[in-house]
Amino acid sequence: MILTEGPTEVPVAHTLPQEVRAALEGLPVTAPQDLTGARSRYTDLAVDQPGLRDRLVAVASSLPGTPDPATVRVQRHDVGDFTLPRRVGDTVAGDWELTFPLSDSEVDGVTAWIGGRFERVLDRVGTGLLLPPGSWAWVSPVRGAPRYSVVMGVR
Amino acid sequence: MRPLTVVPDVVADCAGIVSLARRYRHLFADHPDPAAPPRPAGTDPFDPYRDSEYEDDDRYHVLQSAWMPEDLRAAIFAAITPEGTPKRDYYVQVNRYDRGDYVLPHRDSLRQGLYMLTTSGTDGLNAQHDPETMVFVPDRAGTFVEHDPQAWHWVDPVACEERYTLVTIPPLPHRGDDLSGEAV
Repeated sequence: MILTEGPTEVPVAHTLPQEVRAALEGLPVTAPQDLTGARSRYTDLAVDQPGLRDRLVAVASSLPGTPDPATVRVQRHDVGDFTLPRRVGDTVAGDWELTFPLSDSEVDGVTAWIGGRFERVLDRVGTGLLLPPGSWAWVSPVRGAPRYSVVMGVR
Repeated sequence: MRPLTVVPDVVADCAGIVSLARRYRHLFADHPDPAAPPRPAGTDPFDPYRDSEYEDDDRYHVLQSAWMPEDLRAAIFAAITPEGTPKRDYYVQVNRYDRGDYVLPHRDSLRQGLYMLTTSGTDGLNAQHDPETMVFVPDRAGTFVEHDPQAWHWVDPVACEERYTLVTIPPLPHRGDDLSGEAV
C-alpha cells in the first residue's frame, strides 16, 4: 500500500457537512495544551455513531491505505479558533493522518510539512491532506467563517 | 504575559522604505543559508523549542543591522521616531518574504518591535495574546505590533509576491506616541 503525502482528492457527499455540523452542535470547546504556555481552541468529537462514522470512512475508501474507523474525529473551528502545531499521531492513533475540510475558504486552511517545505493548503471541499506519522501540522486562527473538518488515521 | 499590542499608522513612509529595501536586495541574507551543508535525511524540519537565534528552519530573507546602508536606516528612523533618536541604541533589521516563505512558530527572548511595511489581503502575523488566545494580525503597511517575548508567534507561508516587515530591538520610540499602544 503506497501513501503519498500532500493534497489528495476525496469524494465528499453533499449531505456530509450538514451531518457533521449537527454532530458538533452544542459541544464544549476543547483546549488541549499543545505547546508550553499555550492551549489550542476548537471543538472536537470522536465519532462513535456508526452511521456517520461509516459515511466518513467511506470518503477515504478510494485512497490507498485502510482508514481506521476507531480514529474518526470531526472538528469545528469557530472564527478565532486554532490548532497549535502538533505532530500527526498525537491525537489520532493511525500511522498516517487524513484530514479534509467540509467548507471552502479563501483564507483558512492547514499549514503542514509537505514535499520538503511548509505549505499552506486552503480549505476546499473535495481536497484532503494526507500526512505521514510524525509530521507537523497546525490550523492558524480561523478568520473567514466557522471551519468544519474531518481527521482520521489511515494505515 | 503582556497582551498583544497593535497600533496602526505608526510608520509614515512605508513605500519609501520598501523602495530602498528593494534597491538593496543583494544585501539580504537567505534562510535557510544556501551555503549550509544539507541536513541529514530524516532531520525533523521543525522544533518549536529551538533557540530563537536559529533561523535555518525558517524560509525568508533578512537585511541585518550590520549590513544596512545608512540611507535605509535613516529613512526608517525618519519614518517612525522623534527627531534626535540615537540610532546606535537600536538593532534594526528588514525582513523580506517571497511567495511561499514563512517563519515557523517560536518564542523570543528579547522585547522586539514589529512594523508591517506592506499591505495584504491574505498575509500577516499569528501571535499569542494570552495563554488561550491566538490572534491573526493582517498586514497593513505602517502597523506596529508588539507581543510578549514569550508569546508564540509565526508567519504562515506567504501568498503575496513580496512581503516586507521591520524588526527592531527594542521597539523604537514613536513620534507623538508614548508607546502605550492599544491592547487587542
